[in-house]
Amino acid sequence: MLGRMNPLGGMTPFDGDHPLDQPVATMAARVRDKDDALTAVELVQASLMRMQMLDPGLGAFLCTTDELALAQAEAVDAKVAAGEDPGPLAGVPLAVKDNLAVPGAPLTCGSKILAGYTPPTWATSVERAVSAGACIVGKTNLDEFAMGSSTENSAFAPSRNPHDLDRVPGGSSGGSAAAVAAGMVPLALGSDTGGSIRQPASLCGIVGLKPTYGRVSRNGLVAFASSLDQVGPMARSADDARLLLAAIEGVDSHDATTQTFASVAADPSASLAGLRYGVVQEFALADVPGGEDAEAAVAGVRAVLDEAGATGVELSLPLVDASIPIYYIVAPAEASSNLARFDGVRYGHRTDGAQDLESLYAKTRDEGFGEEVKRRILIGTFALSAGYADAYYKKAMAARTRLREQFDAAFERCDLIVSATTPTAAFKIGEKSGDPLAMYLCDILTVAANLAGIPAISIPCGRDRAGLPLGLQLWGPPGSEGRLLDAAEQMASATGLGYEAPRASGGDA
Amino acid sequence: MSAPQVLIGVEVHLQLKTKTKCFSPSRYHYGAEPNTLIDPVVLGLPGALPVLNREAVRLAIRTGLAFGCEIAELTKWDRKNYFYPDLPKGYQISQFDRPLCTGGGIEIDDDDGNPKTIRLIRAHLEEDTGKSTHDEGGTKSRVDLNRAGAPLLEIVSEPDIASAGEAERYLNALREIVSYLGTSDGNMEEGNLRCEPNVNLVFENGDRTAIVEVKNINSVRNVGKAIEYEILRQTRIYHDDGRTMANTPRSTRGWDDTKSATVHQRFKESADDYRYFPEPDLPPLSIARSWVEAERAELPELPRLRRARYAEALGLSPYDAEVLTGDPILAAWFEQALAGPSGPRDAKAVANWVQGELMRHLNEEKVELSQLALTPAGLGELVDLTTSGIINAGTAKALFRDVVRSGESPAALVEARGLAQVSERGPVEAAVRAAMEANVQAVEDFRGGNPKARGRIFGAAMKGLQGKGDPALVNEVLTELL
Amino acid sequence: MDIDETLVRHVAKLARLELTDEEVAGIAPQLSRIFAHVDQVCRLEVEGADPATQAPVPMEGLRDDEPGELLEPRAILRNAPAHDGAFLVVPRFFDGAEGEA
Repeated sequence: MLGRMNPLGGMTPFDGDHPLDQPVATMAARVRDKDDALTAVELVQASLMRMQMLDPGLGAFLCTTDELALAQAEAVDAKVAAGEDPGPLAGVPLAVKDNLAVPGAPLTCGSKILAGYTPPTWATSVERAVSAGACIVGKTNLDEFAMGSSTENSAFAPSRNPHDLDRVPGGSSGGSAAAVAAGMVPLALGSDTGGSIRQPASLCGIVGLKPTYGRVSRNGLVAFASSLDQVGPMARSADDARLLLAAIEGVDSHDATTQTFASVAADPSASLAGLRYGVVQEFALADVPGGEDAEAAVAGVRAVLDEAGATGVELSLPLVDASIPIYYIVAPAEASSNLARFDGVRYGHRTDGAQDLESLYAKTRDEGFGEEVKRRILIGTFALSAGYADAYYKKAMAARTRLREQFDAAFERCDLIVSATTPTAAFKIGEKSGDPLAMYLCDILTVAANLAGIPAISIPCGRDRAGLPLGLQLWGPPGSEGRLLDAAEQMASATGLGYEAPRASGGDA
Repeated sequence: MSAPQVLIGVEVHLQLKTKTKCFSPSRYHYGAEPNTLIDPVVLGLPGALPVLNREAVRLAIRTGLAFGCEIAELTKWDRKNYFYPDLPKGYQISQFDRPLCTGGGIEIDDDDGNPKTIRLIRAHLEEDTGKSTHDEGGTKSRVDLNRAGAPLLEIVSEPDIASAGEAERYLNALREIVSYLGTSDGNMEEGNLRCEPNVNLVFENGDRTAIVEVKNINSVRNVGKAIEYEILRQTRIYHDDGRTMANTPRSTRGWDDTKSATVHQRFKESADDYRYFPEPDLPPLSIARSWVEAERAELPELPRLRRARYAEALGLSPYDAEVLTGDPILAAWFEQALAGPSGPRDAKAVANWVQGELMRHLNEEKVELSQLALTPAGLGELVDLTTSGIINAGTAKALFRDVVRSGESPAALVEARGLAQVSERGPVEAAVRAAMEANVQAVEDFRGGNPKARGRIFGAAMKGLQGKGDPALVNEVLTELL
Repeated sequence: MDIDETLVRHVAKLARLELTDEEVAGIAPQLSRIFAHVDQVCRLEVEGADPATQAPVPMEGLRDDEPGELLEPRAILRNAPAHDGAFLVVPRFFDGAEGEA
């Protein structure tokens, strides 16, 4: 039996010591141990069973890949039996955001325009996780083409927050966040263009890391904004996230923008004592409506850090205030070009009965893309168009460089930067869907990391007054993921704040 | 009324001869079954990323250096955005503001035979598109993406070309250079060289006609014809209708081979909005000067310079120089044959052999130079045997027919078969006397005033010497005895 | 930047999106509102900043000219909305290159 009754779909999977609820290192070690009875197949079956029970209420998954997962689990178990090492993620069920290619499984990006499309090759990040022993149990829901902060822009159905089924899980990697938060999987892959891993991680009370641009291959990740996109891990703890990141990172001959960075391995000598943490004036939430709880949570963590011997450094990065405008030019501009390939000629949806080429294009794209995607294509096309590109796109790119320089300077004065991940906890489904600009402002604390190409991690940081999870964000210079993960672990120990299983309420599930 | 000045700038798209495509490891070659040379990058599958082929860059640099271009130290790639069925991603990866090659030029002869340099604006690397074919009068177009992603060098000239003839010579010079470099097949029929001339006219009063770009031209000759047509057409619409740049937009016309005419396709009323921006999937490229210099050091002597050297230093006629340099392989063969063991051989003699017996053999037997058993050194030996008088011309030709197939040493064969010319007076005189005795009638005829009869006696004497007699000596003796 | 319906239609045409009149009427004020916020970019003083986001690579960093795996025509056509034999098919269009078929 997996658990006791609870408002979350009637069942909670957590019986405290189910192997699926253990740290990833523990469950993988048990699978790899020939003398331990726990098998990869058991882990995968448990995960699939939880998905079957819980997902109807959550909508975290767009499809399950039972056969694939079980075949992969059997392969892991066969390796163990043969005395071979199946890898550090042996038998660990993994959910994959549905903008990453898994051959044989449909790839939808949460869009109707990819109807019927099945990719022939693997996304490098997913393939590497599988090589490390992970088993793919399903593809998770997202805002269409990763454009959104709530998964409400999914062409299929919104996902729900396991902590409150009336609320969004965040986005765009909302399905992955909900799947991890609900305990259906211990690990998930997300993608982050402007906060799409960190914001849902924050809203769902889990850990989510956006790596340094170029650390993880984008091959097989359906591009939203190529100079901003990164694939990253979502997990219940920083150490779990570290294992997944270590498996997927590294130079890839299929992605010319990948590079080698410092190892993400834990540094046993790392300590909060002596740590210089930056506090950026422009990230203050005092004036943001509803931002008091997040501000208080950050202040609480700062107090713990100071007590542990860390030193706060006050910083100002003036261009952070322009990061949303810069982002909402650069990202749509690249997206408008990246999404041109969805034209009904080679794959995906094609309109019926178009008599000429122009209407084939225009109707296919009108029918296939959702409202938000069209909006961003229009913004981006405009920002690149003759007569406007200098004022918008070129200016934004130059400002982006200056922003990166401001971060470089900041990291000469501190080891990492501390901020909230989101101004507020999860909002209600439908609350912001009529107001695109309000939705864009959800990314106000996250987009700067993508613009600067630097790593940032969101970790659980207590709850707001309504009992909803809040996230704390740690930012570091390029390649500093190892240090961010070390700090995240130590802060979790020092504050006692971390992942908590949902005590869901609301909804009609 | 004087003829207007003709301004022609040419855009050439040159397919570079790599094994794989510009941004993906898919093979490329002409003439494959449709949609078989495809990988996820070429097909523009979601999530597929371009990865630049070093060889494409190297061939582009090599070509640019041969044109005398400046090679950029820092170059980058840009997306040119437009929708087209043969453009899988909805954008073409090209170069906008930082082309790989800038400046340079190609030297040609103008219409009076004087040297003239056609300056280049730039040459940049980009990917090719696929190909579409259309139902004649039907409802469908078919798309084959094999060619998509093949590396192209787009070479843009200044409007320095002043006539159809110059345009043809420009293209031929360009083709010849790339064939010397081995960077492209440069074949217009297979589409690995495509050419779009931009033509307009300037009249004496300063009026200019609107620039017309002509597309779909499939041979060098037709480039000339299209330009000739445009000059006439633009002159006519200027005089008849007063059409100038000021009142007529730029346009694109297509060459119609069956009508031998250009046909209007579209006006470029507003500049096409390609929304260029830097390709975020590809980092910029920095090209070390050492790389460029190493490539420069590898450049062969270019055809025009080589031709000048053949004419001036080797003393060959312009025609001989033209023929011998027309094909880099032939030229190299010729130069190897020229190199004797003790200094260069007589260029004219070697050239005669190469253009005479050797080319005749290649044409008749339909074989390539590389398939011959005869080596350049072998031909050189044969030339030496002739020029030094060891064998006569007839023997040499007969010998050529053997060694061209066998590859044996001509000198060794002369030795083994005793083919050396008979140059001693004794045996020659004996043979002439014998011939006179055997052809009494001819002797009488000759002495009776018929000079033609002499040939019969001469032939008989040579026959008596098995064809090896030194013809000059035979003649000399015959004259004495007659 | 005020984005009116004419501009929306122009941009939609460039982007090959067929928008209904209602969509155009709805989107124009949304974009105007978004650009009212985004417009602060135009006022930033960032002259001289290098817009490149990535460090250049040397020639040695590029791919070797070695053939890799090809997609099987089947894999291409399986995902294609329409094909004729091995060709992808679209409504007939004019590209100037006539009569090659």
